[in-house]
Amino acid sequence: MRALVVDDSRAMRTILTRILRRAGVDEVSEASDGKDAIARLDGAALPDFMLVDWNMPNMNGLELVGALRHHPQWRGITIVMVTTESEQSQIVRALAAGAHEYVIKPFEEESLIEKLAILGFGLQETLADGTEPMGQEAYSP
Amino acid sequence: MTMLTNEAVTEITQEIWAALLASDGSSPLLPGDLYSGEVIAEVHISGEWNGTVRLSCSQVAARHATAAMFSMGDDEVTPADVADAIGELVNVVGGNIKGLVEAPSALSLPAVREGGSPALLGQLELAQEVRFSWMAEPVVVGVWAEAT
Repeated sequence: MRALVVDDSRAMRTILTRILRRAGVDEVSEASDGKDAIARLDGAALPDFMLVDWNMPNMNGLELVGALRHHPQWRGITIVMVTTESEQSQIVRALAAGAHEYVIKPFEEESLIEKLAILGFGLQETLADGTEPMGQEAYSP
Repeated sequence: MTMLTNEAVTEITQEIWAALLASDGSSPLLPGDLYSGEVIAEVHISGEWNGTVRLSCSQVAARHATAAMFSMGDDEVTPADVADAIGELVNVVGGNIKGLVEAPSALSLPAVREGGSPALLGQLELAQEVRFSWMAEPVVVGVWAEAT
């Protein structure tokens, strides 16, 4: 399974990559903004899903979602917005533009993994102490 | 109507600290009474509500938070790492505070600086300030709002 993490913060990319690798994602690539993400998609093996921040320089997450949805090869990639934007109107905009799910920062690791599982990416969620996590309600906009 | 209360700012900041810095395994963010302006990070909110969210902390706290986010040792942290990590912290704090004030509004990209005196924030008034102690180091979140 492949994933692409798109966030202008290296620290946030590091956290998200760590979570995905711990959950069993084989390949995690990183991009620093929308333009960088498109450059990395061009001619490369496509990711199964992308985690996309909203507020980024050069090309923001919403613009990236729109670009992906209008591209014949990329429109099938699953997109999860991971952002601080919590206004209901913004969530509706992102989903209308083509994002499949929406995660508001800060998030619990289990919550992110659960949302990916709902989208069909059954990842192995193991907590730091090796136990399985308790169930948690997913956010439904 | 704004829901920008001292309790809300406290809860948001503590929740973010727990979520983003939990891998550090260190103490939670506790109420504190020290002020620090050694590392200052800001985001601006503009729209129906206008203001600035400022996170300031000591160099030690900044390096430790950065090390926790990058999963590295404190001695490996570079100034660029601090700018990135503390910038992301204020970005998340600011984004959540944006959810408490009048919509629609937009959040700027974060700006981080080390050293020097905190710049005056023009026509803005201090709306809320919460002082924390994290690993015995000061962390302060201030919210400045456009004067009404």
